[in-house]
Amino acid sequence: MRFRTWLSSAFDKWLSGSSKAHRQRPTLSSPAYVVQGGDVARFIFQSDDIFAGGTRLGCPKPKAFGPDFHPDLKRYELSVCGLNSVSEDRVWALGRTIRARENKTALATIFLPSARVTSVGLHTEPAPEQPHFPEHGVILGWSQLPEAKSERLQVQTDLAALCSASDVKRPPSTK
Amino acid sequence: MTTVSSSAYGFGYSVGAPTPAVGEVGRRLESLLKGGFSEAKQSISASVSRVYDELQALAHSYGAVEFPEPVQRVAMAFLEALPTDVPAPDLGLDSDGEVTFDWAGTNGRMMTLALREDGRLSYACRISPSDKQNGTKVFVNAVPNVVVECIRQVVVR
Repeated sequence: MRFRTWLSSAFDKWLSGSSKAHRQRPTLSSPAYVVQGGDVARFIFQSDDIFAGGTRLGCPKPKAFGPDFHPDLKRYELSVCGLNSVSEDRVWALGRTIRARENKTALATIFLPSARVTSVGLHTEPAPEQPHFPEHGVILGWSQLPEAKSERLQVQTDLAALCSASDVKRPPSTK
Repeated sequence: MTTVSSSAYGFGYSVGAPTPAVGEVGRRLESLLKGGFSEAKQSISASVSRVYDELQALAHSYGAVEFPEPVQRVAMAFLEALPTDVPAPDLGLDSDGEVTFDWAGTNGRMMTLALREDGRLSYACRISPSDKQNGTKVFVNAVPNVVVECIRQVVVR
């Protein structure tokens, strides 16, 4: 009994020290949407995330890949949607609902193959924080210093340069 | 998100006759901004009005809280300070409230720049996978030379 108590306590300590402590872990029964080597998509809610003209008309701008600082986890992360076992209909349903509280609907998604993410020194992890969005994942590996914005911009630029207009998918109704 | 683009004559619109230089556009827009949106709208020429409209549309799409007037003003000042031979950038607003300016060339050449309200200027330039640079500068009336050189390398034909 004492051993079980100790084991439980040790496990709790390990969990609280983990960078993923604030994340809900996928259960054995829940499918993995963000998997190693799997592709992900980035939702676009602002039209100025896409080049409006010039040589890269319709391609994502670097700002489309701007990571946000997570105040609890104290790290920069870029939200994405895992695409493993996820239908296109489901992706667009998420695009309509995940920021509905802000009256925002996804204008597009940017398809990101796993190889593209890793080629710029980043990696993807599942982050199913919200019950209605178990497909949520984050792209990590950004420079963590708040003042190192130019370093993050460099990686964003690399990622954007690897994308083309065909990686930008519009919702079925706007095609 | 502005639709203005480069021409052989510098900053301006790509269709039609030679267009005003960025300095002129910037100066006029800045003074117009200081004078208030409604008054400005009535007194500017069609070409300048389009730049103004693009910026206003951007501000409108984000709202005054996310894209406040002081940030718009520093963006105007930056446009004003760009050399006349530099093409117009694609404008945007970052999630942290900084105004973004993007230039794209051929073969994956790209320059992105984020300007904070206090003049901090973060930039990243990509000429090729092995020729890149990034840094932080302060913008006070003049665009730093290193930034201008990066833009020129990106948009070179």
